[in-house]
Parts: sequence; C-alpha cells; structure tokens
Amino acid sequence: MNTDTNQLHVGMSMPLIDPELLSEIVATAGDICLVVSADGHVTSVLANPHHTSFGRLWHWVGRMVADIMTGESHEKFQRRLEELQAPGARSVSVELNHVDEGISEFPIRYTMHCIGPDRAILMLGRDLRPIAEMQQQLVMAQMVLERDYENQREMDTRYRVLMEATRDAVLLVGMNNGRIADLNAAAATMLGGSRQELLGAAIAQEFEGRRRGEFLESLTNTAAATASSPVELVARRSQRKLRVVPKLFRTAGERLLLCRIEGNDAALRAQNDIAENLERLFHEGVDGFVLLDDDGVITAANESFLKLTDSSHVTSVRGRSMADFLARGSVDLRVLLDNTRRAKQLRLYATKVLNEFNGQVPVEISATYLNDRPKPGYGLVIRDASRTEILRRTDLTTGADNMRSVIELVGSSTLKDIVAETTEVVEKMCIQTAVDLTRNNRVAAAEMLGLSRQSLYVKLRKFGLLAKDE
Amino acid sequence: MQDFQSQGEGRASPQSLSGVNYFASQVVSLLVDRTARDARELREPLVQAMIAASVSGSDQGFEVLLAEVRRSRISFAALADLYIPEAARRMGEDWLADRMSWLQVSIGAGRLQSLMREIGNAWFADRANDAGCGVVLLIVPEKEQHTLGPMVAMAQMRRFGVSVCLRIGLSGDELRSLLETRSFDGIMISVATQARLPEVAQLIKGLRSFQTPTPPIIIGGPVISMAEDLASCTGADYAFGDIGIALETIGLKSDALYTLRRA
Repeated sequence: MNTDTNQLHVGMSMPLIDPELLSEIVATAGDICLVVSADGHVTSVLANPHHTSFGRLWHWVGRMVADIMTGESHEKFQRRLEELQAPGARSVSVELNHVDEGISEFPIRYTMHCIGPDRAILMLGRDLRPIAEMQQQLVMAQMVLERDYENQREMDTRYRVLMEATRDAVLLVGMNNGRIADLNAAAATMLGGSRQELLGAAIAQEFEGRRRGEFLESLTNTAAATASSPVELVARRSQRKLRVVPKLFRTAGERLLLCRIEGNDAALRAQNDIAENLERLFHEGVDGFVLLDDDGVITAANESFLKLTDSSHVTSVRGRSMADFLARGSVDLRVLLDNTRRAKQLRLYATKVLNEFNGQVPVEISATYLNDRPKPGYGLVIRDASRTEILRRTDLTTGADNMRSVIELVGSSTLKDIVAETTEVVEKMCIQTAVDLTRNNRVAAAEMLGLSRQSLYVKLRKFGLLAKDE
Repeated sequence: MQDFQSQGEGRASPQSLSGVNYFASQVVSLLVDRTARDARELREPLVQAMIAASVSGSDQGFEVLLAEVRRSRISFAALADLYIPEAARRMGEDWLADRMSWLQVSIGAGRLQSLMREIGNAWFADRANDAGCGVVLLIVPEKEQHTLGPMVAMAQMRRFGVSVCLRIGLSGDELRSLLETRSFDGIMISVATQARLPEVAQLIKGLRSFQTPTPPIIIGGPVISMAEDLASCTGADYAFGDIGIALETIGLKSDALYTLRRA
C-alpha cells in the first residue's frame, strides 16, 4: 500500500469529492482556513464549526491580509509567499499573529498551499492560543521569579553589610551538625582565625576543653534560660577569654544558635592594634595580597586578589598553585619564587594574572620571602597594572614617526628580505626577553618559548647570546 | 631589595630603535593588539551551541557549553555582553524565517535568561564601601514581556559598579511608593516593541509627577532601532542603545572604561 500522502491522486486512487463536502473537509482540517487571492485579498474564511471560539470572522472577507495581521507577521507572510511561488514549491508552513477588533492578538500556525492556476493561496491554520496561554503563564512565572530573586538579593546585601559592619562579634551555629554556619570578621578576629577558615568549622573545636555534645547542650541551656548569663570560654586559636551569649532560633526547619561573643580583655586589644590594622589592610587593601607556602601553593588571599582573578570565594583559590593564576604558569612561578628565595625580596615583576575564565590582567608583583618560621613561605603584593599600561601604550603610538621607518624600509629591500629580517629580530627579542625573565635559566626559558633545549641553544648561539665558554 | 626590571635595561628603548628593529617592535605590538581583539569576535560554533543548548530542554546542555566557554578562554562578561544577546537575536531571526516555532523561541529566551542569571551571580555592585558609584532604577514597564535585554543591561551596569534596582511590571502606585522612599541617579526604561510606546509615555509622565526634580530618564532597548526621536515622543530625557553612553551621560561612568578593559 502506498502511504505517501503526496501520491494519493496517482492512478486516480483519490476518489472524486463533492465540492460542498470538500469545503467542509477543508474547514474541519484546521481550526481556521483562509483563501487569499494573488493580489493579497482574503476571498474566503472558513472557521472550524467544532471550534467556535474565534467568533465571527466573516468581516475578513474582502480585506487585505496586511490588515488582519501584525506588521511583523505580514513581513513573514510575504517572504513565505515568495518561497511558495518559487518553481517546485508545494507548501510552506508559517506562524502568524492575527489582529482583530474582537480578540486583541492571536497566533495561528498555517500551512500555505498554492491552489489553482490563478495563484490563489489556501491557508490551513492551527489555533496556537492554548499554547500561547501556557507561554504567557511561563513568562509570568519567570517574571515573578526574577522579582523574588531581586528582592532576595537586596536582603542578602543588607545581611552581608550588617554582618561586615557591626562591631559586635556574631556567629551562627547549626544545631544539627554543630558547625559554624556564618560569622562576621569581628567574630573571626576574636576566635583568632580568618572568616574563611572558620566557616564550616566545628564550633566545639574552637574552644578549649569542650566536647561537641556537651558544648552545644550548655549553650542551648543558657539560651533557654530566662535570665541568661554569658558562658565563659577560652578560644583555642587566639587563647582569649571570651564570653558567649547564645540565642536559639529556627529558620526553614533548621535550628540555629546565634552567638554574640564579647571579649573582656581591653589591654590585649591595644597590643593587637597593629595586628588588627594589618589584618584590615590585608582584607581591604586595593592591591592583591597572597600568601604562598614553600611550594607556591596559596594559603591565603585577600578580596582584591579574588576580584583580580574573578574568583568567587577564597576557598576556590586556597590550596591551588599560584601558577594557575599566572599567564606563563609554572614558568612564571618558578622565576618568581627562585629569585625571591635568593634575594629575600623582589619587586616589580611584570606578568599577567589569569582570571577564572582565562581573561588576562597585566600586573606588577612584589614578593617577600617569609623565612622566620619552621615552614617558610612567600608573601606577594599584586598590583593591577592595566591603568599604567594604557598610559604607556598611548606614549608609544604618538606621531607619524612610526610610519616613516616602514616607508624607509619599503623599496630599500624586497618584501621577502624585510619579512625574513623582521622575523629574525622578533625571534631575538623574544629569546632575549625569555632569558631575562628566567634569569638565564635555560630550561625555564626553553619551556617559556615552547622550544626544546637543543633548539634554544642553537638560537642562542645564532644570536650571539651565549657566553664564550658555553 | 632587587628590582626585577633592571635585568631588561640592556634592551633598547623605543626611541633608540630604528629601521628593522623598530618595525619589528611595531609588528609585535600589533600582534599583541590583534590577539586582544580576537577575544571580542564571536565564535560561530559557540553561538550555535548556545542556541542548541537553549532549546534542548535539559540543563546538561549549558554545563557542556560553559565548560567549552572556559576552554575557549572567553570571559563570562563577553558571554553576557556578546554571546547571549547574539543567540537571542538569532532565535528571533529563526522565528521570522519559520525555522523555529515561537514556543521554542520563548523557551530558549527563558533559558538564556536563566543562564544570564547564573553567570551574573557574582557581579555585585552593592557593597559596604562602594556607596559612591551611583544608583539606577531599571524599569521593565507593564505588559513588556522581553526581560532578557534588561538582564543583560543590568549585568553590564553592575560590572560598571553601578547599583541597580530592577523593577519588572510595577504599577504606577508601586512606582510612586518606591520613588517616595528611595532616590536614584537615573531611571532607565527598557522597551522592546513600538506598541508599548504610548504606555511608556504615560509611565514617564507619572514618574515626573512622583518626584521633582526627577532624575534623568533614559529609554533604551530594541525599540531604539525601530523609531526615531524616541526621547521627545515619550517625554524621556534621552534615548540610548548603549549602556556605557547612557551611564556617561548621567555622569556615572567614572571608572567604566577601566572596568570594561578588565572585562
């Protein structure tokens, strides 16, 4: 049996249909059916009698199609019409939006067929309004989501700023797991760690001589008591005597303990002034500060560094090698650390910092070797140099002098020679730079240039960059 | 203390270079410029992949896409400013050519918007110490259904350090009470279609009556390319299609250029 619908009429297998019946078949084949003349007039409108929601559309007859659809849809209609009239085309499908006085705007998906020799068009349409309603609900739901999200963002900001700005040391502990859910910088200072280190830490571990169960229990009991007196504790990291005032509350099914921490050692505070100021400089300074261990792995980084690298959180950089963030990777890091270790200090090391998504920011790094401890490390101050770079670049490209040298070159020798010579100069510049940057470390320089050691030597010799005894 | 740059002193300064040397150094700086510019040109396969992921109906599509974005060294800023709008534009074109149904297009645009939300999460302009950088009210008027464009604009402004208050489809009364309690350095209205213009004119009239003096009102969005002299026919102060220019005009673009370079 032949199932190809296009072949129905072949061999007269399609029976002759009564014209009236045909019109009914056409009318019920879609939800709406239009016949449009070659000059763009609607000559007939058939609405499916089983689908009466269109109301009366008889007044469309005799009108131009342009008048019953949106401007955008009319453009589409014209284009599909052209496609349909191309030789060999049989039918095309199109989605149009109608406009009518009764119903404001409604979408129909049509198939357009060329019928008859007078180039009249039969358009069989499917009503898309049920889908349109669903789509509207989708759009509305999305808008509500967006609104909620913006509100939540506002509340988040308020909460964050409040936590950051308040002088009270505050921390939140989850009662189920006994871990610190959140704390502010003031609380972190009191406990003697950084905020990032303490987030998620078991609270009982942060105080001397307390086991988790009994610790939480004693705080909960205090919180429940009507006239609560603070719990006196000693912080493990800072060894400071602290008083903790707990308050229990529930949020979204989780029981949280809000603890306000008070120190009672004013004398110690004066001593800690420099430490506190240093800590603030570290956290709020405009330059990136990074502390590395002996292998160049990041142990701490400040907000500016996170900004520079587009990292969302210090946890996403801690434990990673600094090489991950340098444009020349491990080569950069090795040059940086070797030189710093040798001279204790290093300044104005120019390179580029990669952000999380591989954008590059030019920077100048100064480094200090921190050796006065069992585990030595490095402190880096990273300054964003993109501003100064803009200035430098404008300096370089002033004047018409630049073009003059090119004009001198052209004509004085062949293009081939100029290119060859230029290549050689560029090669030499790059090799010289790599050797400088690596302080004559040939292995690192070769790696930097993507050359084998052998080929680097060949080139060094070629450019006379080798010492006589080498 | 050692100064690392001192190692390079043996190299010639630009002034002393001549002939081939100078030419070569120019070539190098041209190469540097070109590499930087390439990053801002769209990669066609990525645009295609983004459209495919938007209409795929699964979240996995975007995960794969974002991995590809990182591999191709494209910043999320470029993704938000260039790729997402381009993908949305292409989907619109595909609807005009009936290559995509309009349901597919609206679902695709919705998904692009959620992608926008995801990657824009980290762009915060609201911080305790950043209070001096300007506050803008961004309005999507009632009945306006195109919200992806305003999201892109909002993300750009946040990256410029501007604090943005986004309000979608607020009624006149709601806007009135908002303006009673807050003050803004500028009000931006995003409009996608010409059909909304009469209501926008009405909205602007309302805004001017709620607060005097009214902050500068700027109209923007796709409608910019559809009609002329939008500012005067709606009563807005300005009409711009570019966030940078808009911010500059209302004096909020102090560090914008710098931020843009970083992006």
